[in-house]
Amino acid sequence: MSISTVTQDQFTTAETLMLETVRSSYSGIDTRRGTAIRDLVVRPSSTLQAYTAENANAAAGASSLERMRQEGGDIDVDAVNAILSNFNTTYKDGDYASGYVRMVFSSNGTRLLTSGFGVTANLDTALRFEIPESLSITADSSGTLTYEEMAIGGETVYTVPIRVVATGKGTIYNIPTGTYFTPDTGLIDVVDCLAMSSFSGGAAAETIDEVIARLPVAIASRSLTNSVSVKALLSDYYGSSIAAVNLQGMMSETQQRNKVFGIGVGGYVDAYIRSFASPAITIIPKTGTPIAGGYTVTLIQAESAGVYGIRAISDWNGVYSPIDSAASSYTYASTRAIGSSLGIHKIDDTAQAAFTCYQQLTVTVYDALAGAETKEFKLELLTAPGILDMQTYCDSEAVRNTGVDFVLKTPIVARTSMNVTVYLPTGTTDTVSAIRTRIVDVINGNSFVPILGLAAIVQAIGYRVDMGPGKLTLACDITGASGVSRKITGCGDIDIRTVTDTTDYITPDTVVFAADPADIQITQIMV
Amino acid sequence: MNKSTNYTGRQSDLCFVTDIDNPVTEVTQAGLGITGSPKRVTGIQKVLQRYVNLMTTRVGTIEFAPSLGSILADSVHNGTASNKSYLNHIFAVASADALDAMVADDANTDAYGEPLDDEVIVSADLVDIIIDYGASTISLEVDIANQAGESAEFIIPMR
Repeated sequence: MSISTVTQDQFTTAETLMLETVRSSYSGIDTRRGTAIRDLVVRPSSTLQAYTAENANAAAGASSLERMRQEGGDIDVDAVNAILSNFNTTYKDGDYASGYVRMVFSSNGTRLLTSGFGVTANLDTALRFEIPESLSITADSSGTLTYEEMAIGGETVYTVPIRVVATGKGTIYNIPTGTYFTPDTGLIDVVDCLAMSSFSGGAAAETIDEVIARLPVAIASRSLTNSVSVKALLSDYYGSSIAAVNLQGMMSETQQRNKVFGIGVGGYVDAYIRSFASPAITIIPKTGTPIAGGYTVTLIQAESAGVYGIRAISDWNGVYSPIDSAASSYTYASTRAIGSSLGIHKIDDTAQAAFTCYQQLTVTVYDALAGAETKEFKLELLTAPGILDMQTYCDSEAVRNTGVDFVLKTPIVARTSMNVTVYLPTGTTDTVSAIRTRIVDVINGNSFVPILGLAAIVQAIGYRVDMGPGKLTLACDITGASGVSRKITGCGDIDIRTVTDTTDYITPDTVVFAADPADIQITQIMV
Repeated sequence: MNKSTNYTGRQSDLCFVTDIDNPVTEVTQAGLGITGSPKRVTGIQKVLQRYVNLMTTRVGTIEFAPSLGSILADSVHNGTASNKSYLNHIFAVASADALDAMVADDANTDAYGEPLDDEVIVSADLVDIIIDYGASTISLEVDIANQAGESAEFIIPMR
């Protein structure tokens, strides 16, 4: 801060104060403009006073989050971090989304993509993604990436998956699978370019309101004792992505591990950890072993950790996304078992192991054309990231609660979708993509609550919404520990209590709402 | 010019027009600077001092008071005033600005109190422009008058 930060108004205020002070204390001194006293005493003193007042004002503003909230404006990250350092936490200034695009070429010559090369989403040209570093694509293995040769419609094409990172921060960059892109100019023989799977990781910078809201967690004790302290502990360890925590202990209906002859006893806690906003997707290649009518794919325990569903299965080398491809015709089913290693924990049955890192999944892929050869599949798994990592941490000697058997679980996810017609005023700069993001943010902000309210979603849309028959649908799909799916569909609030089933671990205390942008269908009508 | 010595009921200033304490018979050379023994100044000397200060302050050089001062010094120093005629014009503009500031403050009795008649300027006239080509100097001979009917003639050395 320097004298140049003092404004004319601040100086004028200080000078007026100084003139009054001098006149009231020394009435025999002339302070009019042009006098020596004005030049030598009043003006320097006023400048110093204004500077001091500005310093005091800045210091006061920089020491209070509440005052920053009231004053609004741009967030001074350094000032916020200076406050948050007192609480052993830092400001979250957002994250960049990333994902893989599959580029399809009609030729397989060597291509060099230098850092800064990017692709732009066709539906929203503001969404640009770039490769993080230079790479080469070659027909043989000499390059960074190698083409996969495919036959599509009788034509030979060459495909390659390329990782790209958003050029901006925010959830709006978490684009859905199948989004088409236009690559930068300079590439020849480009046939197609589209997202292989939903992009993830994009997060907006915190608002001051959000910082204030999470401070109680930040200053809480860090231990495996209650929801707030567990969230603080895991947030410290795993980072900012711990969105919500709910503990199910001795008095909880969904705590089944503590039953002794049907009577609940203390000493067991299931911690439901929401470590994602939008449904997180893990993509893994797996080899399918031929069986009658298809293939069987076995995930090891580490791969199964925290998985709560399968989003799609396709050929690993498939050109197009499952949405568009014939590969999506695969049907599949999964079975869950208790993994071979339970560590220090007591888990008695498959339902108790569900959604933990102690479950193990086996997937059956049904394919009438299956041959005798093994087949490489791309599995898109819906999972809570970090469950295995966090469980290992919680089981460590330094952290472990010696009196409680503490098991982390993925929450029961109510996968939410919406179909809505929105009337947009002509000339608005708002976009369907931005509205979709706002809807997703509202839905994903509901964890461990009984009701997902339609009113909050409509408010986030910000425009007139057609509430007529068939014009608005809000639905969700909830799969409990048994694997049985429950669907709630309507044109109003979604109430989890209508499908509560404690034996299947479905209660408002275990369920979180989650939506992917691809699950929000918006019909826009310009008015 | 008679020096004021009666400070009763007056608002005095610090004397910084160097030669006020050394009156000459006809005119006083009004150079600026704190003397070795600071003294109080009131009356028409104070008026003279305020006027000279405002006239010789280069407009735009005082932070937070950018309009205070005049274009006189800059015009003389950078050669804009290339002849006496134009210097007359520059003086008229600069003097008007200085008088405006002084009159405005004299009228602002809430902030500064009621001025006495002999401390209220009513006019400032350019008597002569003295150019010494050998010494490369320019001085302005000015006559000011206050509301009490007093006047003082002095020289402002500009270069």
